[in-house]
Amino acid sequence: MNRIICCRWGDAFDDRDVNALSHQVEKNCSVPFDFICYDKFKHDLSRFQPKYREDHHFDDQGGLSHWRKLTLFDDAHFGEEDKILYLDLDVDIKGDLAYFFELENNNPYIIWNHWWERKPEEWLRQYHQARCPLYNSSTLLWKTGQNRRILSFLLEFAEEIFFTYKRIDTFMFHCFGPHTTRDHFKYFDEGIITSHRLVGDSNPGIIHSYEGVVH
Amino acid sequence: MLTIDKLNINNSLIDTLSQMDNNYPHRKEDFYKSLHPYVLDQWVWASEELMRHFIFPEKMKAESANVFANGYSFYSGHFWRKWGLKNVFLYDLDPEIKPINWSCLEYVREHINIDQKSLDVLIDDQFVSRDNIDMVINMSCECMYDMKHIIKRGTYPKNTIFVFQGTDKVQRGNINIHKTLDEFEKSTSFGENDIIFRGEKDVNFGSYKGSGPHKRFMIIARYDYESDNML
Repeated sequence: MNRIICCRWGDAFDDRDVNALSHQVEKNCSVPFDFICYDKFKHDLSRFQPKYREDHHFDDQGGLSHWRKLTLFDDAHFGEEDKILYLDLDVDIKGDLAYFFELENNNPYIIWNHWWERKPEEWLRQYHQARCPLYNSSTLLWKTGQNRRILSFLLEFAEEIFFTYKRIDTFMFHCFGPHTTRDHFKYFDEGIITSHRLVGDSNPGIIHSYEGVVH
Repeated sequence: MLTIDKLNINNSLIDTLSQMDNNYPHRKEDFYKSLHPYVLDQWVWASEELMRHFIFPEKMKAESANVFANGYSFYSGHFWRKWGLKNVFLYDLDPEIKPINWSCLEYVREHINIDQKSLDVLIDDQFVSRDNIDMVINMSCECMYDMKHIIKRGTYPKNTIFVFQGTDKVQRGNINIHKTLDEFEKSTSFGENDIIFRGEKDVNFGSYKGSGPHKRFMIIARYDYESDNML
């Protein structure tokens, strides 16, 4: 079974956003799928969010924003052979999502931010805990069970990880990225997922990511 | 010719600067910052206090060291050699630091085996060397979670010396600053009997970015297992 999932919490998005994504998915997926939006999560890790540290820079507050996305890796309720495509609510779908379900799936996928890689001066100086935008989790693809080790790891070291890392992408890069002993992910080919922030709306990929930019 | 204690550092520095120009222009600012006297001052302070408590290198006999969050390590190589270290294991989250350090430590590589790893020393603890480690150095405790969760009693050989520095300096990248020396001490797992030196220092190197007035804290410790046995 192909699963297309998203999630929602807080006030940033509402049912209209979920419906809009659902319509886009229906229009742009030529293979059978099941669409689910999660607004309840199996794990509550909010207790690990450090208190606001007023004498620290915003990027150094920790807190692992968007940690709820990682709890979706608890996917035991899906079938063993299911393929799961996660989408942020602020993406536009411009091509056929069947592409993702036809990918070889020995490893899970995350977005490698090719668009930032070419602008090292923008970010490489900040290559510490705060920011590492080479990973982008606005689209993820995995087969049931493949990402559970990330969630197990997070649950085991929650306090330390919430203290150290501000963003889930930074956490995954430093703990599961290509320089680590785990080297967990494969990456979507360049051009399959594009960024509105960097290239505007010209030549969008199958998924056009807005990375939090209001549209 | 540029030298430190008769070590020719010309080639290391020139090669590194050339590498920065060609391959890492975006890291120049960070690298130049690592050459600032306030960085040297941290190592000088550690060296002075270590010497005050141990006569180097005869008494200490430290051959192998883990260095956490090392960043660019141009100056530190000199101190490792001075302290008699033969093997140094560097651990930093930033993988780009490795080739730069390889070049800027060229001047001591003949004397010291240097091994570099990119990892989070807390979470990837299993990949951090323990065997025969005589010294653990972290001059940037402000860049990671409390050391008490990383260095615990009984996890290193019994004579291992720990040299930790922290700061109250508010600066981007400092995720764990401490307001006082006591607070800094509480962030470690050392008891009263373990501490060989604890001190703080007012630092002010003028208005250069990141080097304005602040306090640095340092603790040098070695777990006191003998007292444990007497209980």
